[in-house]
Amino acid sequence: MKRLAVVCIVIAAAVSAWTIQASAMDGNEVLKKVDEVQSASKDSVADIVMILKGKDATTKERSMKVWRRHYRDKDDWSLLKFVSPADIKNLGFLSLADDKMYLYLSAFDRVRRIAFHARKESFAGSDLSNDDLSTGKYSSHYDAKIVREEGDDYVLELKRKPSSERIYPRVTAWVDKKEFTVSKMDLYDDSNRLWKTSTIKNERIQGYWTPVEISMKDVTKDHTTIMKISKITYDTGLKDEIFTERYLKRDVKGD
Amino acid sequence: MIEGRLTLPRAHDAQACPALRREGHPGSPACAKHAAAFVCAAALVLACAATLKAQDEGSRSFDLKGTVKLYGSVYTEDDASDRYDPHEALDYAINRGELHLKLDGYVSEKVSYKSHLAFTYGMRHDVRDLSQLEVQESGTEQETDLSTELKAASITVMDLGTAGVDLTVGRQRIRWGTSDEYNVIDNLNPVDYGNVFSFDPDYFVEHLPMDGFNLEYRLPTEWELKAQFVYLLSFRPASLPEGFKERITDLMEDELEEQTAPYGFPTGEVSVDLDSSPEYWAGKGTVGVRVGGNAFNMDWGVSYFHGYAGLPLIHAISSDITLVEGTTLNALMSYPRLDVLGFDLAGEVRSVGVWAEAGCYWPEDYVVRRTAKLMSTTRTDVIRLFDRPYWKYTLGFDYTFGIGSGLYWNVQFNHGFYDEFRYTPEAGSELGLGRPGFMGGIEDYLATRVEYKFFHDELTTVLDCLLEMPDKSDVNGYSAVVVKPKLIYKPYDSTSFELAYVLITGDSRTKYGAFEKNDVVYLLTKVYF
Repeated sequence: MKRLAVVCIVIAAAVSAWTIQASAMDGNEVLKKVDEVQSASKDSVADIVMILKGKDATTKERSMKVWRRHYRDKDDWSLLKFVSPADIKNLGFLSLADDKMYLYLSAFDRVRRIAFHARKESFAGSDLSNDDLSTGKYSSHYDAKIVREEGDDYVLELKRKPSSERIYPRVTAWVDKKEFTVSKMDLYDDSNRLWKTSTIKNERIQGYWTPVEISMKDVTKDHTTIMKISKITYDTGLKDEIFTERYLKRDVKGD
Repeated sequence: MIEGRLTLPRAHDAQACPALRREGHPGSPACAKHAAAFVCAAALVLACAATLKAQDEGSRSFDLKGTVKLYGSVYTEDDASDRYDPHEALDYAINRGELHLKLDGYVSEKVSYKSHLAFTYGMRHDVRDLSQLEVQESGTEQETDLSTELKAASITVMDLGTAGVDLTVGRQRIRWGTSDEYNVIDNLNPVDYGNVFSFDPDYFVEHLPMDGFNLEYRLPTEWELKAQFVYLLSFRPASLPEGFKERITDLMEDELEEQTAPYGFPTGEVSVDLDSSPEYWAGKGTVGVRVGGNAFNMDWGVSYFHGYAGLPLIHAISSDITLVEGTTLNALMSYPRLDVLGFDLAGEVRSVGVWAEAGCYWPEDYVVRRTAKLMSTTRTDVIRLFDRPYWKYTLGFDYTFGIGSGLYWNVQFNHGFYDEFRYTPEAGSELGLGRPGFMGGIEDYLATRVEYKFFHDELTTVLDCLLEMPDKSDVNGYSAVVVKPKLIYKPYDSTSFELAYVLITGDSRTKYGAFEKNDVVYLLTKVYF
C-alpha cells in the first residue's frame, strides 16, 4: 500500500511537472512543435481531392497528386500535379526552399517562376492562394504567443515576422496541447480583417499525424474549398530529383 | 507588309530529300547517310528504352486527351480597297474548327512518349456544282478544307547513361527564353507566320514542331546548372501569310519599273521563285546549345543557335529589258544562315517579376546579286542585305496588385520581332527593305496586359494592348496600336468561351497600322477531354 502511494505520488509529480513544462512553453515553442509534427516523416505521397463549393451549392472537383519531402531544420519541398479536370491536367506546382516556386503550364508546356506578387492569387480557382502551397515552416515566418487555452487547445496568435512576405500578416491557430496538431485557423488580410477560416481534421496514419481533410472558407466570398486526402503513403524514399523542373514537366501517371 | 486573310498552318511542309531529288533514287549517299544516322540513333534510344523497360515492367500507363475548338472571327468594318482581302463588315475573317488528340504515356518509369495530332478544317462548304452534293460511294464531293498535322511525336528517356541526362527524340517543340510571349531568342522552331495576324490566341507566334534530338543534362550542383544540346535533323521553313508571294511580286514590279522607266520601256512579266531550301543532309541541321542555372535567386541562361532564318529573302534579281521579246524580271529567294548568341534572365526584384532576353544576331554575309540585261549590255551589282551583327532584346515585368482577388499587370518592351531583320542602308535605298511591315526592319514594341478574375476564375477579363513604334522619336505621328479587350468565361470545368474585339489603329505605313480596317470580333470555344 505504501509502495502504491509512492508510485501515485511519482506519477502525480511527473504529470504535474509535464503540465508545468507544457504550460511553460511559449507560443514560439508551440509553433516549432507544430512544424515538427508536420514534418515528422521523411516524405509523403498523397492523392488529394479538392472540392470547390459555391454559396449556391454548386461544386467543382479537382484531383491532384502531391509529393512532399520533409525536413526538420529547413523548408520542405513539394511537387503538386493536377490529375483532373482535363483542362488543367498536368498543371504542376513546385515549391522549394527559400520560397522558390515554379508553375508548369501544361497547355503551353512552359515553366514559370512564381514571383511573390502572385502569391495572393487564387490557386486553380480555389480558396487557397498560391502562398498556401509554400513549404516554409510557420516558425520561420511567424512569431507566436499563446493568447488563451480552449479545452485541449492552445490558441496561438501568429504575427508575421518583418522579414517574411507571407500573405497573411496575422493568423489565429488552434493547436492541440498534446499532439501539436492544428485544428483550426483564422487568417487575416493586410487590413486586419478576417479573410479566411480553415478547419482541419487530423488522423494518425502510419504513425504520423495527417491533415486528412482541410476546409478553407473565404469569408469575403462565402466560398469554400475542401481538400480531402484519399490516399497517403509516408516514408517512400522519394529521391531529390522528383523536386526538379524535369519532374514538374512530366506528365502525371494515371496509376 | 503582307495583308489579307491568312493561311491555316500547313499540314506538312515538304521535306523531301534534295539529294533524292537530284539523284532520282532513294539510295543517294547523302540520304542514305542521313537515314542511317537517324536509324542508328533511334535504335540506340529504343535499346536503352528496352533495357530500362525491362527493369521497370509494370509501370506502363498512357493517357488520351484532347481538345475540340471552334474559332470564328468577323470583320467589323468594310475595306473594299484591301488588295489582298477586300471585305465588308460581318464578312468572316476566319471560321475554322480543330480537333486535337494527344496520346502521352510511359513505357517504363524512365521512358515516356508524347504525341499530338491536330485536325483543322475550314467551315466553309464550297459547292460549285450540284453534282458535288450527290452522295457517292465515298460520300459527297463537296470541297473540304481539312488539314492534318502531327504536332508532336517524341520519346523521352530519362537518366540515359548517367543520372540527370534526358534525351528526347522525335518531333517536338523546344522553347528558349523567359519572356511571356515576345521572345527574341526562341529560334529553334520556326514561327507559323500564317497565323500571326489571325488573332487566334492559340496561334499567336505559334512555333512549328521540328524533328530532332534534345539532350539535357542537369548537373548535380547547388547552382541548378543545366546544359542542353539540340540537334534538329533538317531545316524547316516558317509558314507564310497568305499574299506573301504577291507582295514580293509587287516589290519586284516596282523594281522593274525603276529599271525600265528611264528608257521609256514598258514593264513586263515578273516572277518570284524559291531558289533552294537548305540541303537536306545531316550537316545542314540546326544546332542549339544552352547552359542555364540559378544564381542569386535568378534563373539565367546563355544560348547559341546555329541554323537558318525561317523566312526566305531575295538573293538574286535578274532582269532582261527588251522591247522585242518583252521585259522579264526573275527574283530568287533563299534562306540565309543565321547564328544567334542569346542571354536570358528571370526572377524577381522586390516582389516584382522580371525577365529579360537579348539576342545577338549574326546572319551570314548575304548579298543580293542584281543583274540587268539591257540589249547587249549586262550590268551587275551586289547589295549587301544585313547590317550585322544586330541585337534584339526584350525586358518585361509583371505584378499583381492586391485589389480584390488580384489585378494582374504585365508590361513588356521589345526591340525586334521574329520576322524582323536589320538591313543595310543600301538594301533600304536600292530594294526598299527595312521599312515597317512583315519582314521589315527592326522596330520597338510596348505590350501590356491587365487581367482580373471573377467568381473563382469562372470569368476572366483581359485587356491587351500593343504599341508599335517604328520611330520612338515620333510615337504620336508614326505608330500603331492594337487593343484587345476580351472575356473568358468558364461555366464548367474544361469548357471555355472567349469573346474578344481586336481594334487596330495607327499609321498605315506601320506593320499593324496596315491592318487598320481589319478589326475583328472573335469567339473561341474550347472543350477539353
